[in-house]
Amino acid sequence: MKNFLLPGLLLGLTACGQTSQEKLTDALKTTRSWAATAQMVGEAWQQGNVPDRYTQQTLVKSQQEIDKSIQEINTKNRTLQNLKQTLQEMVTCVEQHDKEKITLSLQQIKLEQQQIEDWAKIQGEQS
Amino acid sequence: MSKILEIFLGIVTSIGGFLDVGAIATSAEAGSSFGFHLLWAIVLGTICVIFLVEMSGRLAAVSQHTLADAVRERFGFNFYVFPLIAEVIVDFLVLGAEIGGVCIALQLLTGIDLRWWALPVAFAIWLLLWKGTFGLIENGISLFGLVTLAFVVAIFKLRPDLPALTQSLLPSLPHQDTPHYLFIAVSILGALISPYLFYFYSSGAVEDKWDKSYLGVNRAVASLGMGFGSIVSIGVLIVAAQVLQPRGITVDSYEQAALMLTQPFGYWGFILFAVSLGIACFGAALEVTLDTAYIVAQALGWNWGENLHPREAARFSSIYTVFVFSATVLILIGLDPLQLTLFSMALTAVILPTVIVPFLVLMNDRKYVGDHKNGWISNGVVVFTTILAFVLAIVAIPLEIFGG
Amino acid sequence: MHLIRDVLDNQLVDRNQRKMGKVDGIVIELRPGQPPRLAYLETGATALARRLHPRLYQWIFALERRWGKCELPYRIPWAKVRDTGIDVEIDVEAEQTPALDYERWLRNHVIKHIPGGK
Repeated sequence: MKNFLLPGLLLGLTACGQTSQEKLTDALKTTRSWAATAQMVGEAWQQGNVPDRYTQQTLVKSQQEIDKSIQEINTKNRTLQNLKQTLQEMVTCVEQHDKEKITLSLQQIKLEQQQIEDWAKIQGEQS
Repeated sequence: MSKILEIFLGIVTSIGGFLDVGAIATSAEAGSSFGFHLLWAIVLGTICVIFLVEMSGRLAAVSQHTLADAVRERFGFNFYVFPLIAEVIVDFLVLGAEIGGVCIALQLLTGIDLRWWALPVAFAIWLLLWKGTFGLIENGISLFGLVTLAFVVAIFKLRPDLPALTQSLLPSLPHQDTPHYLFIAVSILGALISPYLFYFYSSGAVEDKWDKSYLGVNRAVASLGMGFGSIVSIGVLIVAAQVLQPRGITVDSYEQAALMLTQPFGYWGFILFAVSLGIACFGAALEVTLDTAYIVAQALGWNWGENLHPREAARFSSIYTVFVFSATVLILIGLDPLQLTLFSMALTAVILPTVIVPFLVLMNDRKYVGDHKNGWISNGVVVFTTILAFVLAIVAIPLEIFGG
Repeated sequence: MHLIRDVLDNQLVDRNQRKMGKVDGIVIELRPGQPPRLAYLETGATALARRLHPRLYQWIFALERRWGKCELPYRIPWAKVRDTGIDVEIDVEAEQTPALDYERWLRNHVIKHIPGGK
């Protein structure tokens, strides 16, 4: 038993101190995942594949999670701020049941995802 | 004829038993984060659980003992108290996760926040047990459980890349995020090799008065039931890998997983996901609740049985009543159901040895199983998988907690 | 017969196969000048607690005394044992023994008052 515990514990402890670089990578990953979720939900909603309530809840949840990530890395990055705004627009579209207007937001979010991805790539090369 | 019907019903209920919140959540997480790479864990876990479920049925049929009875009798109470307490704690977390799964399913369908559903769901579970008609309802729920086959149908619509699939049957380490990969592998093993299944299955076999003539039925039910169940798990993993991973969605929450069937099936896909999750978790929640009452009652020699009227088994019914309502606390305090699920599945892997080691001793003891002892293959497979799951758990859980 | 293997920790049932606890302890009487005699089987929380830890035993003992339940383990004379096959069968009526004290209490004070529990 002891033989397994010790290396496990050591490994755990060394992983404890996360550098700011790792924090950034993690936060960007979460942000990308939730942005992609918002996009998929938006598209599914536009095609009538998911109910309104669920769409709203998931968009709001995406906002919250992305907010959390942004706070964690404490950044005023333009793309991330734009992303937040796009999500807010999407929520409004769903509220007003405007399936045409959301197309614009969907294009927007796609662009922002690409930007975050590029950013993450640069970060990855630096580290 | 009745044996064939029994095999059929047995298979259907074991699919229900196999599929629970753990199987669905871990597969979805695995597929979305690592593509097909973790398929090997599902296959290994399934082979191991087939052997173990067959063993618990064989133990019951030959020795007329449930697993809990036999362990206490063979090793004494001073030993059995440890696996008992460990199992009750894990059951508590797993039940919380199962109830959470049902609540999430209801939230997806109605839009009403999952916390509102916790008590009504617990009440429904309790009512079914209290009315003592579980045996009847179990089969019904399991039949509904066949909707989960939607995941298998989805594979055919999505046409995954076959060479990549077969390659992933061999274990491999990923290029990045190794700790999380190991943690998910542990959770998959813990989700598939659930100790509650063995206690539950052997109790059912004793209650149905199995004898040696049922050994064939037992073998068929264990291998086909668990095998079909795992096909659904594999389906969830493949669908998540095909639909969510390419978009960069990693499943951190059930809301994300709920999207995976909309691509192949449209609106019905969303409904199918919610219904599959709800039914699988509801069936499993019933079983976990009963299982806990079983093992406590069997440890202390009380009257127990799924079809007994509460007045014939007052202590037994009190245990499940208290247990099912207290497990809702985990949801009511706002724990995230998906994180709760992954954590309790990984914890299951930690306690596996305390359950499996005495179990294996029994299965090699002629006093209990006579000539129907384990062969070296079943001993070997179970020992190997248990050690692997335990070592992985000890390494991966601290990493997940402190590193993430 | 192997006392520890075949009797201790086995299921106790009454003459109607009603489950009434486990064999939580075995009492052997030492008699001067004569071979030891198998006197009683014990069942109940206190017997079980005593096997686990003396302090646990004291707690449960005190607790049971406060509730006015049988604080000593229920003892069954060995002569009442009919069979030690899969279960240990005793020639008594379980409902009339202290072994089911808690069962009866729960049934009459709790279960009965919940709808559908009568």
